[in-house]
Amino acid sequence: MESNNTPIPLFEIRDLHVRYGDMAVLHGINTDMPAREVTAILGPSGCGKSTLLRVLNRTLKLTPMARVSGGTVKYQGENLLSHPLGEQQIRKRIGIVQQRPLPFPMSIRDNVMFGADYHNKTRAAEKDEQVHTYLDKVGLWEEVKDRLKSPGSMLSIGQQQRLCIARSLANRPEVLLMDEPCSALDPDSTAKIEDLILKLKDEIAIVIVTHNLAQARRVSSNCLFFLNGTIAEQGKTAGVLNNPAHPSVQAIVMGREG
Amino acid sequence: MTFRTWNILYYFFVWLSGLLGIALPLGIGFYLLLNGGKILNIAFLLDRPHGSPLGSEGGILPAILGSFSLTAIGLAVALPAGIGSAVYLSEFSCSARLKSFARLLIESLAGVPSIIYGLFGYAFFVLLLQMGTSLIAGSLVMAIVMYPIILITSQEAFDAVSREYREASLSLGIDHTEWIVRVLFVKSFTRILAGVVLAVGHAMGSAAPILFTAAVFYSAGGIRLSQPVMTLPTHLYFLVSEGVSFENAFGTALVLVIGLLVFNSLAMILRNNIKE
Ligand SMILES: Nc1ncnc2c1ncn2[C@@H]1O[C@H](COP(=O)(O)OP(=O)(O)OP(=O)(O)O)[C@@H](O)[C@H]1O
Ligand SMILES: [Mg+2]
Repeated sequence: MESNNTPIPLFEIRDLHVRYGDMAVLHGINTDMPAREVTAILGPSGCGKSTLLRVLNRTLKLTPMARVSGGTVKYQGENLLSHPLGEQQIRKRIGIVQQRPLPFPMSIRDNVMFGADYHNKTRAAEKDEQVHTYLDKVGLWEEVKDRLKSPGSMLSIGQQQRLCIARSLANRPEVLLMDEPCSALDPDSTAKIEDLILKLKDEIAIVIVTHNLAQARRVSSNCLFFLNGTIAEQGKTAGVLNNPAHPSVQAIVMGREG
Repeated sequence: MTFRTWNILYYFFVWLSGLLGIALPLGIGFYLLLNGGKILNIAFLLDRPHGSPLGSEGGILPAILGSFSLTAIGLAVALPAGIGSAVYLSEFSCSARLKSFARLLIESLAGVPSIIYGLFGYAFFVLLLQMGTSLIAGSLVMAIVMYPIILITSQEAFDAVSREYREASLSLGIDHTEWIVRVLFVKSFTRILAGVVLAVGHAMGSAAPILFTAAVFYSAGGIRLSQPVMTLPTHLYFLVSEGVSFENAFGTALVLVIGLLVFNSLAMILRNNIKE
C-alpha cells in the first residue's frame, strides 16, 4: 500500500552540479518534484533557474562550455541524462517555453505546428483544428484568427510569448517547463495563462519559473526557492512563502509582500 | 585655426567625399554608356564576331553565352559546396580551434589573386586531369573563385542568427536538418544572397581565372562542356590588346556591367519578395 501513496516523483535531483566553463552555476541541487503538481521556481536573477530548466529539457549542451559536472537527475525513475528514449524524445516529452519569445521565420500557423508536424505528420484539416485549439488555449485565437498566414514576428512581444507557449503545447509534452512565461504580458493575458496552467495541471506536470510571488501562490503547490545556485528553501508553496526558515528568503518574501 | 574653420574644412571634406562616392560610379557608367551605347543594338547582342580583324564587326553573342555558362556552372558547384562547408563549420564542428584555423585558410583563399587560380586551374584541370581548355575546366576555376566568398558570407550569416533560435528549435525535439532547413537557412537567406551576388560579380567580371582554362579568341557560339568558350572579359581584353576595336570593347564592357546590374536587381527583387 505504501507505494500507492507515494508515486514516483517526476524528477529526482541529487547533488546536481552545473558549470559554465570554470564558473559553477548550480552547486548541489537536491529535490524531488512531485508528479501531477505545479512546481514554482523562485529566486533572484542569475541564481541558476533557467540553467536548471535547461538540464531538465536536455538542452544544456547547446550552450557552449556548459556541462553537468556532478550529480544525477531521474525522470520518472529513469536516469534523465542517459535516458533510453534519447535526447530528441526527451526534449519532445519535456517541453520548454523559453524566457525570451522567439517566433520562427514562418507564419503564425506554421509556428504553432512546427514541432508537432515533425513528430507526427497530420492531415491539413486536422492541422487547422489543432492550430485553433492551441491558439485558443493561450488566448490568442481571437487576436490572430484572420492573419494565420502572416509571419509570427509581426506579433507584439506579449503575443509572441503566447505563440511560443502554443508551439510548446502543440508538441504534446508530458511536462512543460515555463521560464517566466508572463514577463511581457498585461494582467489580462497573465490571468489567461494562469488559468491555462490550472487547467493543464491535471493533464501534464508544470514547472514554472517566476519572479512574481503572488503568481507562485496562485498556480503552484510545490515551490523551490533558489539562492546563488542552491535551493535555499523548498516544500509546499504556502509554507515556503508564509514562514520560510532561511533568513535571506525571509527577507525577500517579507520585503516583496509586506 | 579656430574651431569654426576646422568645422568648415571638415564639412567640405565630407561633402567632397560624398560627392566622389556618387560621381565615380555615375561617371564611369555614363562614360561607358556614351562610348559603348552607340554600338549597342540587337545585332550586337545576337550576332557572332565578324570582320577583319575578327571582332571589328558583328556582335558578341558567343561571349555572352560563354560568360553566362561559366558563371552558372561555377555557381552550381560553389553554392552547395560553400553553404555546406559553412553549415559544417558553424553547426557541427565542435572544436573552436579547428573552426578558426579553417576560417584563416578560407580567408587566405579568398584573398588569393585570381590569376593564381587561373594558373592552378591550368596546371590541375587542363593539364593534369586532361580536361583541356574547356568550359568545364573554366567553370571549376570559377567555382573555386566563388567558393570562399560564399562560404565566408554564409558562415557570417549563420553566426548572426542568435544561438537562442537554435536552442528554441532543438528544444522541441526536432533534428538538426529540420532546424537548419526551416529556421537557420530562412533566417540567414538575405545575407547568403548578398554573398552570392558578391561572388558572381567578382567571378563574372574577371578574366584571369579563365584566360588559360576556358577562353578562346573566337568560337561560333556552341556551348559544350568539353569545348572552350568566348567570354566577355577576355573578349574585351583581346579587343583592346590587339587594337581590334575600341568601340566594340566599350560595347562589351557595357554588356558585362548591364548583365551584373540585372543580376543584382533580380537578387534584390527576390530578397524583397521573400521578406514579405
Ligand atoms: N551561456 C552562458 N555562459 C556563461 N554563463 C552563463 C550563461 N548563461 C548563464 N550564465 C550564468 O549562469 C548563471 C545562472 O544563469 P541563469 O540564466 O540560470 O539564471 P536565472 O536564475 O535564470 O536568472 P534570471 O532570473 O535573470 O533569468 C548566471 O550567473 C549567468 O551569468
Ligand atoms: Mg532565467
